[in-house]
Amino acid sequence: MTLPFDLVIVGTAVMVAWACTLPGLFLVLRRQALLGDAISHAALPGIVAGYWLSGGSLASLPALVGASLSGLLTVGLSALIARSGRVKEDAALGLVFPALFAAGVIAVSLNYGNVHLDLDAVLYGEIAYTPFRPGWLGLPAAWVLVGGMGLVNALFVGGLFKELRLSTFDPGLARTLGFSPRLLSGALLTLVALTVVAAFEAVGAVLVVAFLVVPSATALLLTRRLGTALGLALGAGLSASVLGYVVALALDASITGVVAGVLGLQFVGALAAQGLRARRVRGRAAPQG
Amino acid sequence: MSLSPADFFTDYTLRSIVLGSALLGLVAGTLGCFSVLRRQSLIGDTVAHAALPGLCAAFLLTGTRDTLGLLVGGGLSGLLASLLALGILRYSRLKEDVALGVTFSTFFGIGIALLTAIGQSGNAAQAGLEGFLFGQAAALTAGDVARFAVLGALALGTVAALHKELQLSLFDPDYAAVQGWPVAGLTALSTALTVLAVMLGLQTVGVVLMAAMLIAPAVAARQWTRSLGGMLRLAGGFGALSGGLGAALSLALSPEGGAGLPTGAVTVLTATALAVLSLLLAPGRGVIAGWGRQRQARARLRRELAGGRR
Repeated sequence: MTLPFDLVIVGTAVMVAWACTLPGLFLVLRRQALLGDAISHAALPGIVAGYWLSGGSLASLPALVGASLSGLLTVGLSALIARSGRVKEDAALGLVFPALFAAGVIAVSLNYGNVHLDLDAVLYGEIAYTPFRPGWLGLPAAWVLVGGMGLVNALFVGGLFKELRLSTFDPGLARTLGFSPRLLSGALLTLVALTVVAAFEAVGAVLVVAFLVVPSATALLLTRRLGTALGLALGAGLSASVLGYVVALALDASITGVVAGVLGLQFVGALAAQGLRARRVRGRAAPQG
Repeated sequence: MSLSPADFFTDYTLRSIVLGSALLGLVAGTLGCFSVLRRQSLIGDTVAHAALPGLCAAFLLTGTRDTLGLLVGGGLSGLLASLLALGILRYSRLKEDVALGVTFSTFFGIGIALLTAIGQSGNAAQAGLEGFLFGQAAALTAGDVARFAVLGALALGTVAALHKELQLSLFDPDYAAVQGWPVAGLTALSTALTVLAVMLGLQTVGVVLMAAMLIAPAVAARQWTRSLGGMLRLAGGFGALSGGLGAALSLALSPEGGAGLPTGAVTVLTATALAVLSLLLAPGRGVIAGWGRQRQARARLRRELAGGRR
């Protein structure tokens, strides 16, 4: 059974969008929106280690495992630094991931100075090639990997929605009530690291970073209710995937790039709508004369 | 390479690389203080990625890989992205990280789309346009060093001249606004200076590592001082030290005849090491000093409780 190319590509985009949006919404609310970008860079030393262990194949299980491990290391180290209370979360993240990336760059230059380890192939995994990589049960590899991760994320967010909401908005109360916000946020960040690695192997880091942040940010401009925001964000990811693919085909441009661009346009639209609404409300509230 | 310390003062190439990296560290370290204190640490990363569409557009317009044109194009689109992020912060309730993340991924996406368009155009000069984003300190010349010095002096001079205004609009924007100062303009100005520093660094240390040159020196400096002036000076010093030392180390440690250690990566690891040491060892705010204080407080409490029971 072969699926049509269009369906495979758009389906992959939507799966990445949904798998990323589920934990992404909470990242955005927790001021950790840039974690995806950080992990996608910090994965380098893990990929190099995996490449070395597997004896030189890039898109292999060891490289994937290595990337996930360095993703988890990024999350853990930056949380450790931020918890010391001396450095804010954003600066802690900014301290950790360039250092890991630098270590990876040095490892590459020392060991593979003469081999061309194609970093672009890792960072810009190409969505247009997904139909040519068979996975399991006749489904494309990307569907199996990203779809599986999306399913895990859906179970996690669906099953623990109430707990996640509480520990995101009021970690103090969550702790008092006997939940463990730290454990929950650890689980969330672990899922983010795994999702980012699984997805950027399929479609490249750019689209993953965009899907982690932009649909959720767009939705949060339009509503203050978490459930509604999740629905809107999933919708924004779906429409950007379909629209972006159609436009990219018409322009003969990079699918990844155009989908990210459409996401940005949707955000601008939501920002304008929010601005107009705010102005109308202010106009109504202003005293006469 | 076996190098004696004197080589760094006499050899033209070595001197250019070390001086250039140190100057870059000085400028980036100083300006990074503002973004770290504003919780926009990752603005360097954002600007560096957002430069991509500008680089591509400049290439499409000029048709050559002329460094200055590309840097101007990249700088303009980086500036536009950071101003958009400031606008999002101002006109919505989204936080700093989200504003940066949204602009960064949109601009980078558009850049990728442009890059593929250029790739299909078959223009031979486009080869290596992507490599531009990874930086090459080894290619620094005396001319680059002179340019760094001029632009760096301009940026640092602006910070020194507007120190009071920048400080107030950073720590108490409402009061500054009440006093009649253009807070939005001052914030935009310090952001524009940061964009300038990033564009200087892109060529030298590359996108990802540039983010670290803004953050690590500022984090290190914050540990040793409580005043903004002190922090700016110290961060500049730490930045210059890690730039110079990192460049010298990468040159000195490169294996004989090997490809050589990448200067940018060694510089970043040096800066990170300084930051980690400062986090641990600084008196007062250091982690180890904190443990000591905690132990003393515990012992005192135990003594007082024991005394109270008696």
